[in-house]
Amino acid sequence: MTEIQDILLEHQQHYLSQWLQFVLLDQEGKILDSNHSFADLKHLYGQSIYQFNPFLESIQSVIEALDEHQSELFFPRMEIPFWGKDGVFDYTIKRIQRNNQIFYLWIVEDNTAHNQYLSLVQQERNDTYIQNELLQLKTQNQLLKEEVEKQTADIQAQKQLIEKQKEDILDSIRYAQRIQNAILPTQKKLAQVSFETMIFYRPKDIVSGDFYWASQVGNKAIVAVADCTGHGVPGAFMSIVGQNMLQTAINAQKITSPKQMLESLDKQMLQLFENDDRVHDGMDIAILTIDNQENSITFAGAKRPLYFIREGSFQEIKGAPYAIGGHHVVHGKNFVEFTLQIQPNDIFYICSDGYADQFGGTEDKKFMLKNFKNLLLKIHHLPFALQQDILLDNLLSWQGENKQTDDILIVGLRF
Amino acid sequence: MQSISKKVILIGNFGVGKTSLTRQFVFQKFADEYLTTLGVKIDKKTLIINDIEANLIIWDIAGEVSQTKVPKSYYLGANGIIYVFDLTRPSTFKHIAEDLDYIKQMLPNVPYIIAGNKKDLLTEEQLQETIPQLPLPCEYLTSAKTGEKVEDMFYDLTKKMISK
Repeated sequence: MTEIQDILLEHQQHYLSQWLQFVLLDQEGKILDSNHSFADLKHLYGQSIYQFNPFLESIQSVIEALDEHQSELFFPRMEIPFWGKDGVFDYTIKRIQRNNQIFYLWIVEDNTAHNQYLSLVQQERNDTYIQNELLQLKTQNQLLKEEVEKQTADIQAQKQLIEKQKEDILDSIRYAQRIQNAILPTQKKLAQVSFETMIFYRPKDIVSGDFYWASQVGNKAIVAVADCTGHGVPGAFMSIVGQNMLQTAINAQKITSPKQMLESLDKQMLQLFENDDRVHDGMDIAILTIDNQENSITFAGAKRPLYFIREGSFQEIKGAPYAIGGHHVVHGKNFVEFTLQIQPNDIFYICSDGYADQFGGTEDKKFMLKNFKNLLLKIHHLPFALQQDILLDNLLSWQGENKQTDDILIVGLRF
Repeated sequence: MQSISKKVILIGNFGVGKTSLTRQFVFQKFADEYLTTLGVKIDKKTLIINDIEANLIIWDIAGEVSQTKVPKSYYLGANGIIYVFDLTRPSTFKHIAEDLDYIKQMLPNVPYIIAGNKKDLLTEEQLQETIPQLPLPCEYLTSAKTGEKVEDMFYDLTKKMISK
């Protein structure tokens, strides 16, 4: 009995089955025998099956690697036409060794009918699963969209509310600005004094913590520049307080001495806030009294200096190292005043610290006092209107994209 | 000219378009109707790359939620892998990393490509929202419907297989 007959006898049930086709191959894949349940392969006997069948071609190396340990492969549900016959087939490939010869038995089982039901179930399952997932996603997206729309509407409403509130606050502040401006000395009042004046005034916000003051008392003119704690609305409140106290000192207490004025202001300020330990606000101030009869100018300062330029030379008289109000000083505040005889073409400047403290330049630093003084020296001989233009140009150029750091006030007097 | 045969398997979740990608690549055809694959469909296409005739035998394997459910015999002898997911369905790309780890154990050193299919169903904005959600970088965003990047993807994989 040949080896092939032996194998065929062993797999007789395959050979006789109308549902199974088996194909016997030699070691190289040449067709040796086959029953003909689905296809007659007689004309291919002796030829390599790998050249006719892509399935086997693609796993030739796997078939050839079968051995006694793993001698069988099973491929369920192969949806590949078998020599023209459509269907769903289960493939089994067995390695068979007879004596020293290797054979491969390819068993093809037609399970088309059985798989038809499976196919329907699987199609239904997959369709349902996909539809559910897509529906769920659509619902989620819709909910997300609605949530985003709701949040956007909420944000929009909040934005509108904030804008309205901001506009209301700005309206109030703008109105406060009108009040503050009304309190500041008018051009008419400034024109009453016997010397030329310059006011360079740039609040950081709409209202300012810096203020200037001018008053004529008999033959004396009083000019002051104050820098109250903070800026904006709190600064503006303090400036009103400061102006009120100056009024009291000059009109009610009839004081014209700058030193006495500082003492009065300090006393009033400390008294005002003595009941509230949380408030340590105050102001820095420079006060000048110009005596027209004596042709003299008297200066006293609380943390603010007097700059003056005489015959091209820049001079400075420092103020006392204490602010008005704020904290009590153990041994009292010792304010002093200085009197100078006015000479023709003398120019005096009193100011807040805003200009020198402005941040900017290429390295985003303060403008600094040294540069500020040099600038005043450089422009002092020019008409005040031109000085104002130069001060503004220089400030904006230094400031660049930066915001204004603080309120700025410079008052110049020319004799 | 040298002629070689390479088994390419397309795997991934069901309904992601593996059969459509194969049909587009082999026959330049597309059908909107979804017909589930039960087991394996096999198609063949020859590409010529650098004077080599590469006969691609493409195994379009039925999609499963997890690759562990696919009969192991389907993977045997594969020379290249295309992992396909559906850009419109997050469930199909949630487990890419685990699936690929599993497959790499069986097919170490076999080149693979990750393809996000059904690009035609997404707007550019939706696409930009989806890409960051992918657990692994996706090399090809394809459309079996329009044919976008389909041929490129198979060419790229073939080059990788040849250079192995």
